[in-house]
Amino acid sequence: MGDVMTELTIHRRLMPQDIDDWKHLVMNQNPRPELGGPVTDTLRERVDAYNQRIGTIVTRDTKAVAEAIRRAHFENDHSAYGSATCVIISGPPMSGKTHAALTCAFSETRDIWGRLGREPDAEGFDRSVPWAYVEVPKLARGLSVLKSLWTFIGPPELAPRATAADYLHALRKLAPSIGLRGIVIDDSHGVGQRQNEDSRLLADILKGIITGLPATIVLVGTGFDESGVLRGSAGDQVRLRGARWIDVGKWHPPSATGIGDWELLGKNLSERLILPNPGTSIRLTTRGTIRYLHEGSRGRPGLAVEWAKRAASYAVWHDVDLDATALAATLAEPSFGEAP
Amino acid sequence: MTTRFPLRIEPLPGEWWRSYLQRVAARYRVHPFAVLERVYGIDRPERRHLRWSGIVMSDSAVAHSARVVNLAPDEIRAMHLKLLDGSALDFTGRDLDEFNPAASLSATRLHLRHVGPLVHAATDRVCPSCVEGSPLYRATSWRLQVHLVCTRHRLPLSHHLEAAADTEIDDEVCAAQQTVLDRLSPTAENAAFFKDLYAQLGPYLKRPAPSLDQALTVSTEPTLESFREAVHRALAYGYPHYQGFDGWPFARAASHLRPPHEVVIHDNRSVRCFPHLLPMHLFAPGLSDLLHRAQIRPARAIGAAGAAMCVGARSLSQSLELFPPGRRNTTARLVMTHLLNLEREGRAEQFWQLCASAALQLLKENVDYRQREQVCDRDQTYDVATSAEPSAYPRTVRTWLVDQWACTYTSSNVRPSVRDGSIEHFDRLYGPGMRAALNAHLRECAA
Repeated sequence: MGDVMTELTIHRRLMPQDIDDWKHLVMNQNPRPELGGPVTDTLRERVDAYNQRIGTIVTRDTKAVAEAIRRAHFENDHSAYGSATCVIISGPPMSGKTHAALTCAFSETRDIWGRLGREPDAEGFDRSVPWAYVEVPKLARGLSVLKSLWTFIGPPELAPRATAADYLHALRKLAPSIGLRGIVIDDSHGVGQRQNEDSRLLADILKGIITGLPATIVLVGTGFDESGVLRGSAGDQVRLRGARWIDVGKWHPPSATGIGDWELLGKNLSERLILPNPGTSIRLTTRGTIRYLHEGSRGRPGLAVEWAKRAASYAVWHDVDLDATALAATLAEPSFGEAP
Repeated sequence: MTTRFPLRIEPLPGEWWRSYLQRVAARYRVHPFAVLERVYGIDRPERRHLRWSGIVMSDSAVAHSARVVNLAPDEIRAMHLKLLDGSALDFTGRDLDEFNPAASLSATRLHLRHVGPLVHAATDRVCPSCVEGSPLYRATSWRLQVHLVCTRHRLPLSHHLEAAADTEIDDEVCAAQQTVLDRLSPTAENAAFFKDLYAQLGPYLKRPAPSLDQALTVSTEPTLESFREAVHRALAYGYPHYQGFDGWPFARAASHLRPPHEVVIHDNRSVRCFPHLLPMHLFAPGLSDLLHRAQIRPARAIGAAGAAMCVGARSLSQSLELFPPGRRNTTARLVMTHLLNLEREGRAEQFWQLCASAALQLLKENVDYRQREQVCDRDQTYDVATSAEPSAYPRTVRTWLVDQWACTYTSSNVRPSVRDGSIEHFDRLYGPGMRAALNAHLRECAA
């Protein structure tokens, strides 16, 4: 296993903050390994890697976000006076907000790149950048969000004394050439964390991005209300424009009888994850396991998916079933509870 | 962070790399230094990095820059002055890294003028019509001092847009300029043309006299007329009087004198076997009359030099490399003096035609006169010749072998037969028999 893990660790981590990595992220090829042969470490490594890369797990949230973005695109494309609608995705940490936003961005990007008839960064053409992804840095100040966006797209640096208006003007000129359709601004709550002059400037800039760029803006964050980013006149404009406000991860807990969001998540995970040993099975749909998944992830679907993948890896390398026992063995906080 | 710019900004026809970088900066609304930072991968670009842009870049720097600006490497190379190496410019012997802005540039001033007559780095000349839609556009060839007129818009390149607007350029100047621009591709012929042109424009290209582009700022018409004349003179190959070589030092004139007709060959080795004195059977029919003012041996040397020049259109100084070092200057002087006389008499054209015919015949006969030169004074050769013609006077046979068979110079102690001309009579009597025997002897030796 040592050799296999060495091979795994030399792979570069792909980052959505880097446009150069998007080609690999968007066109992620994840061929299903052929099962049925002898179970070797090589096969285990392939299955493990496949499970880690299974991509989008369709949930109620991913559907809601996709629908909200589609509608926001429509409204922005047909706006009479250039007013802009944005999408606000809110929810607790590890509830799957970023995953839902990026799933939609990757999907639309894949669709656009598929119609290009060439590589998106082919030599001799304008680069195709349908979606941009920026994170609001911790303790953000000044033009940091605009600079992050500028860096993501990749033009030469603007002069140090460039103002927000300069950035917005330059980006507005650039956007049609690169086919910009949307911008995901992650950790947007960071804009208001300092509650000072910087915060107000950042909120103004956020409002400027939403109204000043020909793209659908998706704000992703935790606790927008508490952070104060959507307060004040600029915040009001952002909040009121956010006709599509989605609270991610607000799922009803699993019930004893009905089939809800958690049960569907368990079903989807069971269908997507695989194990190399034919003698083992995936049992993530039992009511006990679903309840354990819900409790162990503190009701956060994003955390639940990560946990299930970790448990799948455990099952792959220990030749055991993927069930509550495997989940218990890989629980980040073992003292939290006992497996049913 | 991505290394690439998001847009591909198309280079304009003939655009210069520095101009392209400035257009890219303008398109992104950034300072040109921000573009240099990414294109050259340097932390703190300075003005000199911009100033040295557009001359030459290493292959690795071109590949990096091409990726950053979304162009093919060849598109970038086509925007550098290095493209003109081998025609208007000559980078031979230069360390190219000296000019490479992506490398660590020397803080001292570099001498770009050594590669050819370029306009000063700080000088900016434009065709007002060419830059109408794109004010930052500059063509690579505008850096050459010998690009004075935009042939497309028939306007002189000018430092001031308004200055050029009312100037009308006549057809002859346009045609001369077009001739220059048509010769920018790097070939030996074009390199020779530019060398000749620069020689003709000497007074304008040398400091401290005003350079060509500076002269244009004062008065356009005389400068353009001088330029037109210089182009015509540079192209008037083989006519040294028209080209103005009368007053030049012989050595300088010899390096620019070229034949008007070229005998094209694919293998230059055969020229190295050419004789130092034109063989009598090629000299006698026409050149002997034409060069009647010279003594017979100098006249044969003039004919041999002319024939060697015609092969591959070599300059006189190049063709004289075939001659013994001690004879080169004298022969150059002879050729120039007699050719100038012939031109004044209107017979230069006939001279060149006869030289071209002689060159063709020498190539056809394919005799290795260098080999003959090496063996002509050997006893064995002498024995073969005397055996073939026992009645020939033995002491004259030695002279004949050098003068008539190997067609090279006799020793400085000129033999009486050469001085009184009896060697030609001797050749008529005994030459055919001795040649046949010597040819057979050489074939046997070779076998």
